[in-house]
Amino acid sequence: MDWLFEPIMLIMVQGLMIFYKLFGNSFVLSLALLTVLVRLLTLPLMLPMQKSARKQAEIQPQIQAIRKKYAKNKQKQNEELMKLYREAGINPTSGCLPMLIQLPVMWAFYRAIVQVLAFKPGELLFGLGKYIASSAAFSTLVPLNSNFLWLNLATPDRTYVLPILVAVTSWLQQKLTPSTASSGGEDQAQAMSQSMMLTMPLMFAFITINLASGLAVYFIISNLVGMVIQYFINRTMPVPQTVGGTAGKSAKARIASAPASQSSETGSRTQKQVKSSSKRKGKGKRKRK
Amino acid sequence: MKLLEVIVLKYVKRLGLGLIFVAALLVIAGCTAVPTAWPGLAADSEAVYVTLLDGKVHALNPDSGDEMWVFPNEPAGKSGLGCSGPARPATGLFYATPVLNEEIVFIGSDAGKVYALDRANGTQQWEFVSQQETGGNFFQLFSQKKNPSIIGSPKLDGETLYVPSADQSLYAVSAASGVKQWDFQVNDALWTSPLLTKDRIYVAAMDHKLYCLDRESRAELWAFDAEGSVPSTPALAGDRIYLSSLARKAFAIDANTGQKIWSFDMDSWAWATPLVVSDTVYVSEVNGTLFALDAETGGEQWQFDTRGKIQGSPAYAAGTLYLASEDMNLYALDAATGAQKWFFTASAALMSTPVVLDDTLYVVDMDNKVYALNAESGAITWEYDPTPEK
Repeated sequence: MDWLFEPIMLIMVQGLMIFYKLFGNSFVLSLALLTVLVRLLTLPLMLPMQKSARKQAEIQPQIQAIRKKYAKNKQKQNEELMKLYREAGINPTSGCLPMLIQLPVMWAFYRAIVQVLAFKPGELLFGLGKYIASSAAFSTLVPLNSNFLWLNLATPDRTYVLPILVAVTSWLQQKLTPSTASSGGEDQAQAMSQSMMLTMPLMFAFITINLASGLAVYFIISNLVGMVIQYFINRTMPVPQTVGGTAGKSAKARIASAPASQSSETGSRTQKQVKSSSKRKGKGKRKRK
Repeated sequence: MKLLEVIVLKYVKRLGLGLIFVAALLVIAGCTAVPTAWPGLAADSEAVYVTLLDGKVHALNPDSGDEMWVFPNEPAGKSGLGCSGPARPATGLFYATPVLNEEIVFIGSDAGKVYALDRANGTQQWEFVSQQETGGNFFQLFSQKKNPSIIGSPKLDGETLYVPSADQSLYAVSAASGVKQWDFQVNDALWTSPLLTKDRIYVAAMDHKLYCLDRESRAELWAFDAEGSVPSTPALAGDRIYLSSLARKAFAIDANTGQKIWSFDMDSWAWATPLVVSDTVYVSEVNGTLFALDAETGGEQWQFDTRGKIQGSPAYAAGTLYLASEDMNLYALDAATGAQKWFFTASAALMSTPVVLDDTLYVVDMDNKVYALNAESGAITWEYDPTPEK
């Protein structure tokens, strides 16, 4: 896969080096600016995913209805679902493809940070040297100054402050990101979404404990940038209120008719949405009765 | 296509691409921990000492290649998370070439320690830690930590061992006990051995400087700006110092005044220690070219291209240069003309300086194999492979 990653890595390494030089040998500023640039450049890939998620949220009631109707005939269920997606103009794979395109970019960026933070001879010669040993502009910059606050960015943060910040910012970013499941999806998907929301930040924190703290700083910056981007996306593309909204009558009815214990198992977020949606619209279940 | 859509819809979305991404990160995170260094080699008539990528020192019989002892004599651990290769050994990895006196072999590791081992049996006599942990205080957690690795080889001079450390210090340590006598601070890591004369100490650092110190008072006499980091030990010949710099240059400097005499431009980093033989200085660039320069003027006499990186300086004996390259070849070149006499192909990249002793040439590859070659013909006399047979 080198043919795929190497050209991207070369761009990333050179980008980091250019900004490092530009910002007076500050690696963190260089990292922050390149992260913002990468996130903005990959935004067009992210938007179709968000649009697709919102469209899927809109047709959740129909999806649930089909699942219920053809619960015993999986083949028919899939056919009907595909038909529904086609009619709604949704390609189920369209959300995955941009993600697959983004992954090499993110991976190359991640590897580029590791290479640029080289502080031992082997890492410098076999890693960073591969990209800049012939460069007159960058050769005099190595090894990079990797000191930032109390950190040596090339080594793990033994105070555990960064892993905690990684977990918190990951959680906040996920909290801002609407998913199909959180917008009225099926119970299992909602449960998965809830569990992911907790496990992902914890896993990221766990990973960063033993990683170079420069990577932890990258995760934090990336999460913060992601939160800002998500905020603006949420403002320009509001998440449809399928549960409790006009498009989600059947789903709402299903939740309302479910036993209390089952309702609570589906996750507090769904219940909150029902409540807040009812408040906003002023036509909650009781009122209609 | 329909089937693919169903699979994506049903499984991938449920599992969450995020989880897959995290799993991939876990693997990558583990793999970045795979150590990288290169082996080192020192030899005399009694033994050949090699530091291999297994993080161990191997003492070999110079005539037969038989193993005499190994330090530390413990099995290597295993790495986790799906990565190949051994885990990082507790003693660290060895970039520094072993240094010998009559009884002791001194070895610096990238874990920040210098080990003094008994030459006869490998028993540890003492160890010196380059950066003492001060621990205990909460606020010290938030203080800057310097990398304590010993990258450059220690230099032995009588009773004193001079230890360069990446923690930006040059330490003078008692060779008998390992007790620190004094230290000198620079502004960046030290990856190079110091050069010693009767009244001066020269030490080159990654802060782009070559420092000249008064040996008695350790006062800085002058500092030369090499324009880039200096990753390898300079060479002292007569009243001149020759050094390689990552600024893609080699320099000749007046050892008394620190004034530049000449510089030679290359196309990539100059990494290896220059080798001076009578009126010629041999310098190399990492992209694989060896240059023979007039020591007086810096004028190029000839160049020899290999197909891999050059990290170690060439060895010289009886009119022949022995050059190790990442392209797995050891080249024997006519020192006067650069004409190739013969070459030997190892089983992996050759990154270290070969050692010539009498008519035998010792070289070690990145596959941890040690070869003793006939210096005249390149024929293998013996081969040592520490990998256990499967």
